[in-house]
Amino acid sequence: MKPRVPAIAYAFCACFLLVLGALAFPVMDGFASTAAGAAGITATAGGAIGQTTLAAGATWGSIPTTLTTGTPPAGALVQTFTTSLLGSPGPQTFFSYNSGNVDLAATTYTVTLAQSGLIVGTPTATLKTCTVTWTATCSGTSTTINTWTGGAGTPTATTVVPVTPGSRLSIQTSIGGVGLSLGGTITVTISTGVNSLTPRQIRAAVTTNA
Amino acid sequence: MRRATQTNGEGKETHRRRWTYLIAGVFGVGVLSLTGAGVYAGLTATATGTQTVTSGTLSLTLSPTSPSLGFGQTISNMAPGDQNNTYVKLTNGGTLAATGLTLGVTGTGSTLLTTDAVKGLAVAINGCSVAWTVVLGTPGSATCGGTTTPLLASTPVATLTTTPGSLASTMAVSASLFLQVNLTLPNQSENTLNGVAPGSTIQGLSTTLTYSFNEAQRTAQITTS
Repeated sequence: MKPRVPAIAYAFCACFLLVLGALAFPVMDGFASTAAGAAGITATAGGAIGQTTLAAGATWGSIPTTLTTGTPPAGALVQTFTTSLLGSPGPQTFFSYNSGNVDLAATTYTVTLAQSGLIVGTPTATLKTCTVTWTATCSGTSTTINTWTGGAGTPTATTVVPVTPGSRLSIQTSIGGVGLSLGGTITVTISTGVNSLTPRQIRAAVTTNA
Repeated sequence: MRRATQTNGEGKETHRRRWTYLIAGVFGVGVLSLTGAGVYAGLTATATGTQTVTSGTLSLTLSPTSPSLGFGQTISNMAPGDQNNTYVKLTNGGTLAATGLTLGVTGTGSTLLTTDAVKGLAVAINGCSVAWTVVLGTPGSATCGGTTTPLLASTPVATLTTTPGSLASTMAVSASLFLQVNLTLPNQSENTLNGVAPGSTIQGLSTTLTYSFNEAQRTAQITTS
């Protein structure tokens, strides 16, 4: 009996040839797609350590205080004067403290007065600076900032200031305009303002090469 | 007895069929071998040419222009109107010309210094055709012995963070730019009352700025050789 080749053998051969062909053609397509997909190049300098700059903004301000050391709390200063029967009370002193970290060129003071009790006359408050700490008198150079009357204080700027950060300037508050008084009290509220532009009350702008 | 003979005959038939399948299998493998051999044993002819191809490089480097220390410094206590100048050299050190040189600046944190386009920091760039001659300090000075070119007008960092500024349209191979990087805190009015800064103050803030210069490769070319 003559042996016959089963159909399954032919089918196997055909599949094998198809697989060979399928493996061969995609390799050629791959070259083409790679060339077409070439991407652009970019380069960047910066962003690494050593190419950064730390920039910090300044602070500026002035605080009226009676404290002689340390950093005083922010806020206005209130001084209370008790009048005597025959006239104005004696002066008091305080400090203007440079609370920022840049030099000051000027400071604006605003003083308001309030009174209670029987007071004859119109009380006034005068601020005077002294280049040294006030005692009964100024043993250094004294400069009058302004004299205020009544409740609506007019802001007044002075260039006599605690220039360097953390420094203090001694200032005297004196009361005037009181004639007779009986149980009178004068309350003086002192506020300080420092502006960066109008008017510029901090040091002049600088250009630094570094 | 007849039944035994018949059974013995069926066994031989089965044995013959197995041999038939085996021969068919061997034949199939043989055919495949011949087919494969036929594929590779065909006549071929090859012509070979060689071509050397190298890809270009794009490299942008940044260095201080002495005596300036360049970036990496600390600028403390900037008051409104203050300016700080830093001098750096930017070099296209690759083998490809570049296009679209830009500068982007980002800052750490989210403070008015880098988010406010009016009150915050601003950057301007001036170029010099030769290295700047720099005198460090406050006030500092610098002179350009060649030609000075404004490359970037004063631009808020808040803007440069999202939209890098354009410095140059092209940059040749090995070309260097000598840059004066000017950082400014703009003049602005802010009143501190009794030591208390107003809301949304510019005071006492800090940020670390990162300057990122970026360039792209020149336009792709089609060459014939």
